[in-house]
Amino acid sequence: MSESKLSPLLGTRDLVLHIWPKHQNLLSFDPSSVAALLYLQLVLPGHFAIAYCANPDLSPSGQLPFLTHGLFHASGLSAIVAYVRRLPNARNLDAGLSPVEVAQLTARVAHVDSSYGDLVNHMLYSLHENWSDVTRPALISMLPVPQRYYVPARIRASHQTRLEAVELWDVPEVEEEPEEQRRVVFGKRKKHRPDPEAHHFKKAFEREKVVEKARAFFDVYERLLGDRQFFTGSERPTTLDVIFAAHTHMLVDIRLPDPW
Amino acid sequence: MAMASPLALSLPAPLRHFFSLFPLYTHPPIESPDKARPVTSPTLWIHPPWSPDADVLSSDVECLKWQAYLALRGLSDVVLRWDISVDGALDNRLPNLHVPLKTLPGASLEVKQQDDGEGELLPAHLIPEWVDGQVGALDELEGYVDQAARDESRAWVALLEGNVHAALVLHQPSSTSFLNLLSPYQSKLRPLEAVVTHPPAPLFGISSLLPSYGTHVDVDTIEHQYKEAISSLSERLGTDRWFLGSSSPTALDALVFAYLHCILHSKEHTLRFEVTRRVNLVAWERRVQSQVRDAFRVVESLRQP
Repeated sequence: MSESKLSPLLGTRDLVLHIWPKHQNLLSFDPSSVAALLYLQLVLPGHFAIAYCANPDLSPSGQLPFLTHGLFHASGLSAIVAYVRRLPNARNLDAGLSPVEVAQLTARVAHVDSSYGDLVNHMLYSLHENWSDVTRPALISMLPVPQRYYVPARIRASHQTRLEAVELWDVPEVEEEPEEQRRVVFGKRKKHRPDPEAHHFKKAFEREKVVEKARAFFDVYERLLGDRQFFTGSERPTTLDVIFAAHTHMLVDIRLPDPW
Repeated sequence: MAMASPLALSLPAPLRHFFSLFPLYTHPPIESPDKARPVTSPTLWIHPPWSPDADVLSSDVECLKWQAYLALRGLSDVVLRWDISVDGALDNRLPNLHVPLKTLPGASLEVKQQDDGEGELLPAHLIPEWVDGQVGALDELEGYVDQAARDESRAWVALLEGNVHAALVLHQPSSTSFLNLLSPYQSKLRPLEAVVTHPPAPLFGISSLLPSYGTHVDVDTIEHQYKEAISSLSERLGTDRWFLGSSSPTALDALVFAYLHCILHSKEHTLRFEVTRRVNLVAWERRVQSQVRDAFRVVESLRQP
């Protein structure tokens, strides 16, 4: 209560969701933050608060999004979903599904989270143009002064292991004219060397592989959705719809200089 | 001292005297006991099993997955060996399949006839193509019931290779003996960061002034996702003979078998408990195990005398 000397927020019983801040049209800068936001809005409309937080170290596991409810905390999307599902006034999104369908839903959620998440991270962090024109300035604008000089590079490096393991990291992009301006050094313009033939071939091949991966993934979900409004044919969106929509929102609503 | 032939130039005397101070000895050839045996039947190189005397199933998930794949596709009499270290494998990753040239699907007739026993070493991702050449290619549906089942199988593969694999990697007994730290040949296991979707934070936080070191692993989340994965796996299997209602075993069955077998043999009882609670998974794994085991035999030199 109020006689404690602890921070006033600790005494509240409100549900607070901490997510990455907004940028341009995006609801938040990270697909799992967007997914957590959409999920809470569908399950507990009006009963929670959002706190935009750009410091992942505040979270108990070091990653955003995380949820605090009084003295309880849950970090990461799956923990948030599991906790909120058990609250008394929460609507159950997966109510109309049979146990087998719920099992299939778990698998599909994992599939979307891993494959689609890789594609989104690839677009934001791996492609050099997107990184330097969109992602990095966005991160810099969200972070306070000492962190903005070294944290974006660390965030990018942290995605490297995973993207290298799925072969989505080192994809060369299309060379364009604006590349020339960055090479002006001390007033002298470096000569733009034409690439040898082998390099052209490698570029086309690598991009083609990524497009193939994306196409295979989207074909699966296009077939699953068909003409219906939501993935499982029910009247209300389920957890799978929420996660898929969050990743699609990231890709569709941000203007990237190197689109596929 | 050997005499040069009369037509060769001879060394000047002082040089010859100098060279005679360093005579040349020729030793007889040393017979080594290690000889490469000619390969007559397909040989799979794997990580050693937990109990090499009693078992032929590997202790590594990746190797076991390919073993199960070969067995469930209908191959039999495949030889196994596990005396080759990881550095000797292609790309430093076991399993590899060593096949005689006459079984290669793309080889021409001359190549097949001049087979001198050396064979061809295939990395893991070329194994399905070779198996197609042996037993016939699968149709478009890859053995699943329909297109929807095939799409669903992709989701199950992602679940297994993501959530379940992360739990296995987390609880792997790390062999940090002193000799391991000193030896220059490290076996590279797949690190946790490559398996988990969201990159974990460094040990001291991402904005600390100390350089990034280590990973702060969120154990609760991984365990929770693992439990959900196993319960949904059990629910989906139900009482079917093969996963997703297929009439014959598919690649997904091989993958599920590999993970279940490794979980049931791991030292960590929280992992094991989740699976042993589900009777249908245990029964399924036991049935598939006997089928997989029958397809292999061990190369003779590895049998204990």
